[in-house]
Amino acid sequence: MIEALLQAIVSGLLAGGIYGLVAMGIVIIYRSSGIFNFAHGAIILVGAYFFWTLISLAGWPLWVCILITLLVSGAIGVALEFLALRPLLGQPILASIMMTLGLSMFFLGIYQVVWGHRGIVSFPNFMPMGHWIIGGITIGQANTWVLIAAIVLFVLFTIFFRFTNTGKQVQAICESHSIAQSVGIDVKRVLSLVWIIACMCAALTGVLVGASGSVGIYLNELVFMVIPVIILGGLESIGGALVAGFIVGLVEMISATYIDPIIGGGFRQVAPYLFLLIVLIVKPYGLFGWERIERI
Amino acid sequence: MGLTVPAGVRDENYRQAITIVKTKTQWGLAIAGLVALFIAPLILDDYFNNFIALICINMIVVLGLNLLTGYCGQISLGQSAFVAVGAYSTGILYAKYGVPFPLATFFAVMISAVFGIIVGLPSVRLKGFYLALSTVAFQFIVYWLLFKGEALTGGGYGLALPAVSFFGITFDTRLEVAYLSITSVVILAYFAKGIARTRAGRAFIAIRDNDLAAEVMGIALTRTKLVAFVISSMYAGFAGALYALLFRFLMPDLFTLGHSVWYLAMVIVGGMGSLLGSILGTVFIVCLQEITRVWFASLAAAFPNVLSVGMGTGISHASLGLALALFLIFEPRGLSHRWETIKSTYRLWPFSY
Repeated sequence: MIEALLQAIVSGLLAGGIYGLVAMGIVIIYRSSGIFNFAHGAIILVGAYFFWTLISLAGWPLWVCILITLLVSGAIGVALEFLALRPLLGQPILASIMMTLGLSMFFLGIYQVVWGHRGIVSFPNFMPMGHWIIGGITIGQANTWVLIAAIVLFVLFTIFFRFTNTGKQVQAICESHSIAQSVGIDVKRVLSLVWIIACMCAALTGVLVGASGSVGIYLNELVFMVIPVIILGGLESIGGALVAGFIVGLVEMISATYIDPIIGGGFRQVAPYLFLLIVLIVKPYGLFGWERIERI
Repeated sequence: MGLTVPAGVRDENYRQAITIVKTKTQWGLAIAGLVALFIAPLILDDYFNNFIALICINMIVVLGLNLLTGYCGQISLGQSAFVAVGAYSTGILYAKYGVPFPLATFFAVMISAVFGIIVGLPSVRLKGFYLALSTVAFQFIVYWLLFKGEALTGGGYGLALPAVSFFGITFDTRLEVAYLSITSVVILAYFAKGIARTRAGRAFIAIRDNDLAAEVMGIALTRTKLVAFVISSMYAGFAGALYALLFRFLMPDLFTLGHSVWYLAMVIVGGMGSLLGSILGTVFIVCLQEITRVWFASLAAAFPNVLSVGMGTGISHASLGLALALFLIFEPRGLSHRWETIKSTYRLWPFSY
């Protein structure tokens, strides 16, 4: 009994690592531009398949492949910001929501055209795929590496935003675009930088998550699975995304362990969304979000 | 308001000011349009009648969604869940419990309205993006319930309906279905036009423009937002009932988040806060979807070694996404705005100032 609970907690934390990784990429964009990037999942998907093409079909060495994938995804980020999102600055929020949803569909279409017929693929093993078994609890090694990567990325982001000049400029435009502009920050340049970082983060997520399991169209759905995470963490907080990732992972796994036997399975798909509704009603701005005061 | 009537036509009393159709030309066009609409199904074949019915069903959802999103400013990404509630309620009541179809439709619309209140309740505290996400959650929960409630909904195997007949008419050919949907859409568009012009409709617009200011002016914020949610969910529920009647087969994959996204896309492409826009936008997007689907399917069939079927759907997805993005960049106010521009250019030519 206690073993089942411990197993649920461990699996929940490991799943939370993936959620945190995905959520961070979305939060970085949201806090600086107020745009929720629904295309994040599709970029993860395309990034993972692009990496697969390089490493499995072309057979290039691992580091070259990762480097090229990051470069290409960064280029995609610049292009998206410049071509699609910049014309929408100052438009109502619905326009940007629909734009990223449209972009998501566009990238999904590209995936279907180029890689759709390949089905589910997997990378050659470059991460340990075994399991540690400690006292009857199974811990997937690959998932642990993803978790570590999420934490490392979080530390890197914190250092970047706290201690570098460029990072502080990003923090400034998060507060207000117009004030940042008036103190001499090039808001458009910073916004492209943010999109480069976020898209690289997406591609890296695709590589890591794909390496810990398999690569398939389910990667696109990650963006909807992390909505509860992002709301709970607060839309503006990177650390919140990571913490909330763990919490939602735990909620999912524990409810899967205890409620699934009662209703006959499948509850883990919907548990995060019920949790999301509760969070939205009780604490809509999440654990670490900014509650903005409205004036007429 | 802009120029909606030709020069020289003036409203002399209140009754004239509130009429929708003002001049003889407009009456002529309206009647000719209606006659053309009702003759069209007789001339067209089954494929096109089916297509007309599909457009009409989408149009009903979009009219309701435009009242909610375009007029009241509340974003709903869960509209196809309301359609699912309407469709499944009708289907279950009619096929499993033998309730007469009009009665089943009535109950379905009422059930959708109840769901509309439930989904609308978070809008008391949430706005903008947060509200949109709560409707996404509703969408996923309904989708999941459709799978899990297998005893009632048939789960992934779907729910089949027998041919529907009421008032002595059996709706088993496309012709009758097309007539029913055209009639419904004309009546419901008239209703929507009416709602937009009442006190409630003006309150919607006030809330969209600035909800705090609207509240200060004495508009009951909670009640008006709930009214908007209820009206739009009733429209969606009715569309769902028609859907059940048209396709006679329901499955959860017909009511996904993707469908909700496209309903919103129709509102935006047509023009927010414009009922003419709802009509134009729906026709435009549904035609685009059908054309890309058919065209790329035939393309895939013509070059089987180069293109797979999956590639066909891929190209269709990519082009639809691209079309939406281009619309948002180049025509953010939608087709109805473009239509107004064309009309005023025509009226003012050659001295367009």
